[in-house]
Amino acid sequence: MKKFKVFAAVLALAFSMAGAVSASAASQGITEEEQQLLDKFKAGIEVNGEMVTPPASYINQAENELMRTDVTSEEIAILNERMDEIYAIIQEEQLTTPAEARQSGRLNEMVEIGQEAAAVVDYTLSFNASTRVVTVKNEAGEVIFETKNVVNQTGFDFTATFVTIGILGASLVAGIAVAGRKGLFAREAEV
Amino acid sequence: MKSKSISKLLAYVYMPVIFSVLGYGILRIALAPVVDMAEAVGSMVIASEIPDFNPDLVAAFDPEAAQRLAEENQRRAAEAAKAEEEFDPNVISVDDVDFPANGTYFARLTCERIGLDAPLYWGDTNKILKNGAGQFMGSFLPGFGRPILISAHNTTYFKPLQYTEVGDIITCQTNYGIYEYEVTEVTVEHVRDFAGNRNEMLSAEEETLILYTCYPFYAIAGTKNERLIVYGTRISGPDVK
Repeated sequence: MKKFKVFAAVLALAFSMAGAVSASAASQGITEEEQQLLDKFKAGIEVNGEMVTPPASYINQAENELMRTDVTSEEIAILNERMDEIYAIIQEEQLTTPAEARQSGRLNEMVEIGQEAAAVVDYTLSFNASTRVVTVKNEAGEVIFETKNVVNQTGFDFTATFVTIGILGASLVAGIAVAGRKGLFAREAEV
Repeated sequence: MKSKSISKLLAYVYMPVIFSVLGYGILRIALAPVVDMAEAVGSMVIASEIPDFNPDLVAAFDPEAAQRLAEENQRRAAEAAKAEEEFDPNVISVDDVDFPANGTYFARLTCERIGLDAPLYWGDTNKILKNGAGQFMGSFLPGFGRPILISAHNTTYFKPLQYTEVGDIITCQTNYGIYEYEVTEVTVEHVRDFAGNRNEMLSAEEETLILYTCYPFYAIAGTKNERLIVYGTRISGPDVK
């Protein structure tokens, strides 16, 4: 079973619509309808006879957000429609990897679907093409979902510092040697 | 003569500019890790609370909130007993949990034996890791019966992890409960293997505390490709339902 980052766009849609009632959330936790939506997302879709599912990190972020907010039945229905639109693109293009999604030329289309839905409820979805990270923020500008790496770099690396100092030091020594050979260090005249 | 004057004038302008830009670039490359670490270490010493000049991070942790909620639950349990109703004071309602936003200081991690004392934030951006430990948003809050994945720098807040042993008790105090985790395993893995296991790790249906940081601790040059990982199982603290 493949994990597919394009589900980030689908998940972003889920968050953008989930935010529709964040201001009026009366209780937390996941309702039965929200659980059905989550289960649909978890199940993924079949592409070329193979099940393609989102990574656990995306599912968990969706679950956390659904615990925090409430989604109405109407919004769940809309969200299901948007999810089906994205799934249709994935199946139509038979996308099984992020590279295929980019090459198909339809990744932007999926991201745009998410951005349009997010804009309706003042959520924002952004896709950084250089880092290939999808970020969803709520109306307060808080990040509620991100497709970043799970494991961080948590140590300071001074390699660049040492290399730079080394190059500067070597340049200085070389410069002094060359200057010495060319007689650029003038001697004081003897009196 | 005029062209010589112009050349001299240009030399007094473009040469200093070129050298200034080059010098700034070299210093920035060389000093960036030093400044980053100085900021992180400084945050441990200077600020026990969130500095006011850091608007992106919010402090929501209240060390006395958990005690107040526990007392409130005991009161509710007593009232329920009088009314012959069922109420479990050791279960926290999900409505009593204030879900933190990204960048919120919402809990504190401690382990007295090894000297661990780290503010815990929701999210694990570089900015957060300079100010404390960061919880990956794709993991779950304590009490929810699911994995909890937390990271911090090995030169600052997670430096004490190098002394962790099986059997140590790590405490995570939140606003809604105090959770204790017994260390069951301390291991070092290549980041490729650790990251490769992420789906299985995050899909687990049990509450495991997973703390990790770069390894080895005292290597200051070279890419750190290993992680020290501490696994803990919850031994006390209320369930959230």
